Amino acid sequence: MRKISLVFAAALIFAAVGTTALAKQVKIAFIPKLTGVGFFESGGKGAVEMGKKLGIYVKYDGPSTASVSGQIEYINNFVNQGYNAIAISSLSPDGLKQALNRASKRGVIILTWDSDVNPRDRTFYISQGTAQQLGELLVKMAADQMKDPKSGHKKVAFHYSSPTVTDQNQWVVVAKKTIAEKYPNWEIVDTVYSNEDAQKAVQVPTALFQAHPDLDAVICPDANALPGTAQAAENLGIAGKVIITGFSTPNTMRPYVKRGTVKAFGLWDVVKQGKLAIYVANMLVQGKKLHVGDEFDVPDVGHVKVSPNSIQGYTYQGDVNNGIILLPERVVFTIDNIDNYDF
Amino acid sequence: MNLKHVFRSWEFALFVLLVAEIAVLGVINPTFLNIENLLYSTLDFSHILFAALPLTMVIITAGIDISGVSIMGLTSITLGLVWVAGVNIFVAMAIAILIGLLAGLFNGFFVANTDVNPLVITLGTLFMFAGLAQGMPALLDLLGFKAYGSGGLAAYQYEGITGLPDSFIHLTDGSLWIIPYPFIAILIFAAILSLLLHKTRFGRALYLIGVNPKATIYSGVPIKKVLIGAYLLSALGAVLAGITLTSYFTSARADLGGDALLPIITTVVLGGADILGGSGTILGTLLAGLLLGFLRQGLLAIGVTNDLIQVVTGALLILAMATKRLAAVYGEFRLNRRTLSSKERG
Amino acid sequence: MKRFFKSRELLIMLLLAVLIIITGLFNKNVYKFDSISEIFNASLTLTLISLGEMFVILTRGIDVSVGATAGLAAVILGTTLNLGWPIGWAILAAIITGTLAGMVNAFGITSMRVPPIIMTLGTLGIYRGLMRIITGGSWIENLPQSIKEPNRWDILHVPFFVWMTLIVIAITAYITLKARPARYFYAVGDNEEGAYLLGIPVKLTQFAAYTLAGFFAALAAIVFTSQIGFVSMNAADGFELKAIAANVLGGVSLTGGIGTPLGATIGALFMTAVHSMLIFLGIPGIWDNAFAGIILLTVVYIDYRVRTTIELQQRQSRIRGESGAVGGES
Repeated sequence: MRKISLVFAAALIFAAVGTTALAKQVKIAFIPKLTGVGFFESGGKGAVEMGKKLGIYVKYDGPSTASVSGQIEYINNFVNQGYNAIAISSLSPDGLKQALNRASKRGVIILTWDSDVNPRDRTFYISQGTAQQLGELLVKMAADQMKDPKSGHKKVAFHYSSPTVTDQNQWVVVAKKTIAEKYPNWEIVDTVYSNEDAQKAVQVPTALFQAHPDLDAVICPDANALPGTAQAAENLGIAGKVIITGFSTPNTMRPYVKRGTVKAFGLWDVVKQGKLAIYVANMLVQGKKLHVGDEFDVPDVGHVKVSPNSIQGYTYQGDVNNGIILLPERVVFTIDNIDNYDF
Repeated sequence: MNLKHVFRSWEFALFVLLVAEIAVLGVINPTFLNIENLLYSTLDFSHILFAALPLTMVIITAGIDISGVSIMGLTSITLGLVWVAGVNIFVAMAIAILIGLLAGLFNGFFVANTDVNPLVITLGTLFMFAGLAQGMPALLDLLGFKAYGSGGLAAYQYEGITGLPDSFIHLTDGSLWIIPYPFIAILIFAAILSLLLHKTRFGRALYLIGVNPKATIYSGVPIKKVLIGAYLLSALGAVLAGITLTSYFTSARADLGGDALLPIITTVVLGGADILGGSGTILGTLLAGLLLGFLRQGLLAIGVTNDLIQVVTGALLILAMATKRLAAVYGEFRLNRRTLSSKERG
Repeated sequence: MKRFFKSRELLIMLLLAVLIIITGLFNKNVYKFDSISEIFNASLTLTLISLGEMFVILTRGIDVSVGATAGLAAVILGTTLNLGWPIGWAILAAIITGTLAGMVNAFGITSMRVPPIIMTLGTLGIYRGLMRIITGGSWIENLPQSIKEPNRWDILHVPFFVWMTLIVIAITAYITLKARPARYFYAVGDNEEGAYLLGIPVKLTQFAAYTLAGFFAALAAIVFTSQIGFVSMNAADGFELKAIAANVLGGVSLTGGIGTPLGATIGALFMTAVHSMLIFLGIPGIWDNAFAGIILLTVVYIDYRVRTTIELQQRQSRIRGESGAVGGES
């Protein structure tokens, strides 16, 4: 019994020392949509690295399933623990409003990365590109792989996680509009969902390929859907005959690219996005005021510029510390460059 | 009431655990003991409590209702769409409640009139209601209703319906002194359900159905009506949860509450309800909900990662129940020994 | 013969056939051999998990940790493979992991007397948490090609894994129907106290049921990993509910003692086929859930009507003429 209480006391002291030591340090929370997905883990890695570089404490954690209520729990908790800033990839444009406003009231600086909230509720959005840019990129990657995209009847399909997920749907809406404008000869035969379920991500495109044997391309802007579709094509022995493209991480897609099942797919360097988010968050915690049009260099990331909210289609614009900071570039991965990336 | 009886009850054990848990977590991280934060954090699991409380009554009948999480989303998106069409928010709320209750009626009717296992029925409706909620904006768009959002009504599927009036947001934003409104609502809801379960014929019939459905038929209890009532109440809980989430998230979405299923069931069974029917109390579920909710909040507050929280919660769940069972076995053993020794003496 | 027609298995099989035939009217591609074979292929993970779950349900228990067990086994398989273990050892490690996970459940339920739902809800959280702790939260990627090889093998144009699962089903069916100890599962589920009085090792039987559930979940994990080629952290998430539903759909009774491996298999096949059929039908993905729900409810309702009608007829014929009815029933 005495041994147990000793251990317990030691743990208490340790915890107390730990919290007081951290209290003087700048603390920034970096929250993903959900943990356990390569994309977000890599963003978290970048964030923590930047924290070490700046000598501040960065915590990466979040819900294990993509749920708005889970994210709110984390926001509330980081606020209660006295964090100075929160950078979050939001699951819903307005769902976090109440929690974020409570945080702001208590002096916590709010940034978003990857997926934005209403611009009134945050300072900066560290963006990988606008929905317009990314939606067009999806169509471009598919079109570039066709011999003659403008002529002949082409059949394409979309495959991603679910009809309720915000960013993927926004990209697809743009992509569908782009197809209608630029390539009226493309027919969108189906839009299917696999709900972040890896097994379904293989089953669904399998049925899709069999239901439409003459399919030309499948566009998959989702981390599960893209490898799942590639796997389905390999299982059916039609790898290389059908265009498969979309967004996913290079580590997941490397084998499919090497085998030629997927010739090109896109993403942005999420490690850099994590670094940039923490760098900007720290600037704001230090009291720096940023205005639209300001430019600065970020170590490991490059030259960035503060853009107005209007580039994402918002009408609201605050005059200081409010806007969008775009990542310098988006990457199209092919067999030639994929080995340069590890995330 | 017999004090000894109270001390031996599972509810009392849960209460002690709850106090001990808050104390331990508070010692490790004193900021956790901030009463205002503590009460505010109930907002993060009030939807689980709303759904779990009446689910207890369904489980007492040896049934189960897993469709509640879909009814939350259905309620939310209905509320939003009706409001967007220009109807007053509270009228919209009434319509949403009605739709949610209709969903519960469907469950109850199916369960009461067939012998199909409720798990399968509500699994079917879990999919069906979720599908309806997801498809509703697109369907309205297709039917030619006027588009309000940027991408037409269909965009509401993934952007959610926002800009809800302050009076509605105030339902979760506001508090009586430092007690958030939803928490007060939960206590009132629990009190009403408790009276219903323990003081009325309806409540007794629920236990009877759970223990012995055949005998219930012969005893003249309107078994179908009672069952429909139980599933209606369960839907009502989900509806209240859906409204709370909509207000708390300041947006109406079709996928609200989708991940709450396992926490809800965990709450009810930890509260002492037997999945095979016949036992369970509202107080037990309430205490179990607070226990699990504060445990999660407390572990988050001391910086435990989400992965570890899952492990700790799972382990504590098993330990609590194992202790309960082993204590019962030991009690029996002691009782037997006492009877034996008294016989020897006598 | 009449008993066979009365059986849940046949009815669900018929309804599945009807679903496929109707779908084929709209999209002829369903009728291709490959399409049907791929539906089998896609249902294998769920089938294997459902078979394990069946043993538990037969004993009047429930196991909601099977999805998490499969996930954990898949993580062990992937991690050991990436550490450079030979494929055989990695598969063995995965099977041991799954079986051990099942034994933990079994121990808690039989020795610590924790109710099955609580025990397995608890281990569901523990196993899911462990998965992420082992991998540090990242997906397991870049698996060696050797694990994907079996997925490409085929015998008579039927994938190897389909054959493997068919053999597993056949063995399970033979054992549960013919081997005496396997009948214990039914006896325990039907009447625990009666079984005890008959001298059947009740605890041991229950222990075996949960262990088997873990073992089958591990088999499913191997098929899953081979077919998909990477292990995500939500691998086999939600399969516990699907497996229970597949069993019930296939006629395995949640109150114990009734059901066959064939039923569990057909139930799993049905649950999987619905999603593929909706794509062949060209129903927009947004309605997938709604239709899946409606189809499931329709099936259980038709099944209910057919059963009650047959029962009613039997009762009536019994009233009309004793002799004929008695003969007809046996």
